[in-house]
Amino acid sequence: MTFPLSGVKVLDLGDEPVAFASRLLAGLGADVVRVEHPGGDWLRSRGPFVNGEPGLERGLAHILYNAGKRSVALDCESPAGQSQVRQLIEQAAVVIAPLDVPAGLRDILEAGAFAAAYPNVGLVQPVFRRNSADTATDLTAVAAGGQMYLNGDPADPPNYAAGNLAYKQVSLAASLAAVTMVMEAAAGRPPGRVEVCMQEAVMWTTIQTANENYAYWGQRSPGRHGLGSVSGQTIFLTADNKYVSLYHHPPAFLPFARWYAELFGDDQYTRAPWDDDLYRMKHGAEIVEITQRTCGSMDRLTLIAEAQKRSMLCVPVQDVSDIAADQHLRERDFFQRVRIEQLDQELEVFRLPFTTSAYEAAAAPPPALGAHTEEVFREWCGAASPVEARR
Amino acid sequence: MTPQPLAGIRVLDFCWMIAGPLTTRLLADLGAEVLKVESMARVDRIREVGVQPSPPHAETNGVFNDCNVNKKSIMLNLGVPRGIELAKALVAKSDVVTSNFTPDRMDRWGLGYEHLKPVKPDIIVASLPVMGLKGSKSSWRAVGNGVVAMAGLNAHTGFPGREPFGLGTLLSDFTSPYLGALQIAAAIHHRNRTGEGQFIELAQYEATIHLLDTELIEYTVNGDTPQRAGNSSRNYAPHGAYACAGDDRWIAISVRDHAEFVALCRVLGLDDLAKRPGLETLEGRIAARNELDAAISARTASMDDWALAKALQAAGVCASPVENVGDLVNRDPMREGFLEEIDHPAGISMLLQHEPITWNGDRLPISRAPFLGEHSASVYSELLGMDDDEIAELAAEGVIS
Repeated sequence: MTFPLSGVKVLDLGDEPVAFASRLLAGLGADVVRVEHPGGDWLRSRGPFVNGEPGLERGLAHILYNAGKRSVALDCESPAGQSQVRQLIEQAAVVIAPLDVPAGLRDILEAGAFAAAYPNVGLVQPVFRRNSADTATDLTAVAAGGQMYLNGDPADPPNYAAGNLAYKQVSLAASLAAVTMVMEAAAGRPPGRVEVCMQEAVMWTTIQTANENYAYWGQRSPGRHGLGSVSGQTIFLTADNKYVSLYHHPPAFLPFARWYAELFGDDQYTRAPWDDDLYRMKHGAEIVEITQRTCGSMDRLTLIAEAQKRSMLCVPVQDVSDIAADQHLRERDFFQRVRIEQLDQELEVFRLPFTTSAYEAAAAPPPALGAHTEEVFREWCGAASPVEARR
Repeated sequence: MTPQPLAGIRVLDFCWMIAGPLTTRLLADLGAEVLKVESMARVDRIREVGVQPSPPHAETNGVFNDCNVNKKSIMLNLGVPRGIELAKALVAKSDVVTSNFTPDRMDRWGLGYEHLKPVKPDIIVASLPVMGLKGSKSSWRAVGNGVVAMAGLNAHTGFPGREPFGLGTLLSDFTSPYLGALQIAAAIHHRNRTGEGQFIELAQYEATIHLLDTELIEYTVNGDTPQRAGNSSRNYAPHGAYACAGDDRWIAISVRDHAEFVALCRVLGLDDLAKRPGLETLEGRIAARNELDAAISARTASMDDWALAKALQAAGVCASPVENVGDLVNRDPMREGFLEEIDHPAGISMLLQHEPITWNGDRLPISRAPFLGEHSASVYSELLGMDDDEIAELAAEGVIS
């Protein structure tokens, strides 16, 4: 298997918002070296933990987001540590910077100084808002980007969705930028500096449901839709008290109407005026009623099998236990066991979604804190030890 | 001018709807020439569904325009044999082929990877199916809201003891494109180094599961199923959206440590809470969550969300108004630079979203989405050497149509 980024050196100075970016690059074969404080960083110390027991090697966020990376432990607040970071930067193709830059790295990562010192090294820098020193957590970033306002029931406060979605979005944009910077360098051009804005990255996710032109053309500011989205209610309860997501894609409405007629002896929905998209939209409450009646008349498995047979868009609303039990994912080797030496344990994790004819992403363990310090300085800098590298 | 790392790359793009077209939009933004293949027999539904100015116009849909900037549109009917021949002739002149149909559609047209490799041995073929090509549910159909539901985002969003909430954004449509473009860019880099093409499959279901935080790994490692937690967090407290003065106005506040908690209390005039023992630790603040949220809400209720966010940021506390699209377009300085106002040939002006990046301080260039078939004549003539008569004939025969 040939990974497309094999041999590409990525220096990961990032914090939590961009941890997923360097994880993706590692999944594509890049040699990702994470610089961590000798005392461990936030990703290692935040819960939840393996078996609920705290520990720098036991954080599940660390196991998830640092998979496939190597770890170098350096104190960036000390002059010696800063000098070592500079040596690593010199060897890297791309550096991923953190959102909250620690004091010890500020001079190094300042855009002008970095460009002057390392013209052949790409710098990917996340910011919360453009031209602002404000900082953010995932919550305040999804709020600033217009995404949070859209989640939940209109009667409730805007709802914070699962998943650290602002961190994910900024990481996705950062990873694509990093790869294209590597391509620039390969073409003999300076890779330069890319600034990725969290607020803008989040707003990008609202292109459909709250497109900027709603406000620009003076029509409206879309709000919250409770059990559905801008296209109406999509979440319904089945007879066995489980939820499905059922969206009436227009071409699949007639098959649904015929099925409804079979089930309940009422065939009015198979005919005009119900064949008209706009008419159905205007009578959404009635559509919701007959959809709920259908869903409530059988268990979830039967409903989905029958609906899919009829080309309807109907799938389960799954929680993590449903996902872990999904045979489809098992058949695709999505879940894999990895041995984590530092825990002396084998854990079930899941691979990245990269499957190609050239390579298939495999689950990988996270690094033990500082486990690769000597090795990385030897391989990247040709030094026997970080101490020697410093000379 | 910003770098154009994908300049010289030609993408033959059979994608429609949102996730696929946004994937190729990302490539186009970075300099690739993207040929969006369209047909009267199979018009991209997103041309028709989405926000429109008044009166509406066939080419001014805001969603379609955001998804398809920087591309060319050519007509090609794949329902006739000559259409398939032309498609293959275009593949021979392309570097990348993209599609997001149900798994076997391209194969049935004779345009699968195995069919295209003989036409162009180093071709990169990328498919973004919902479930993936392999596996017992590969034929399942879903669009964004279903993909998000399967991936666990709905089930783990909402308030304890209540139903799972719908998300206001169909997330997978906006995250899969990055993963797709990432893989395609990496494949081009690989081809440039080795001369090898490849077939890429990005299953949107798998991609969207990666939007979860630790919920799934908690289950596979510890056997725990985290419950819906409303707006609270296990890592930060206080953490939530608090009502402010005005209709449906909210501020999001997220406190990472005790120093920030003290700063929050000072700004809100909650000095007693700042001094109260037991709130120095995350555990202490989580235990007092309901009381703290009530005290904060009592103060924010009469305050202006924007002014308060500014005061809190100045005090070092992460805060933002919960902005709606009206705020982003009409009030937030972010509009400058990120939202490009263009004059559309239909006689209106509209906004387009840039990439959320700047490269060496500059925005990537942006030009409006193509009209249906706008570039048929130029593309067929330049790439396949057809003259006007030939193109007109094929149009009349329903091939370039």
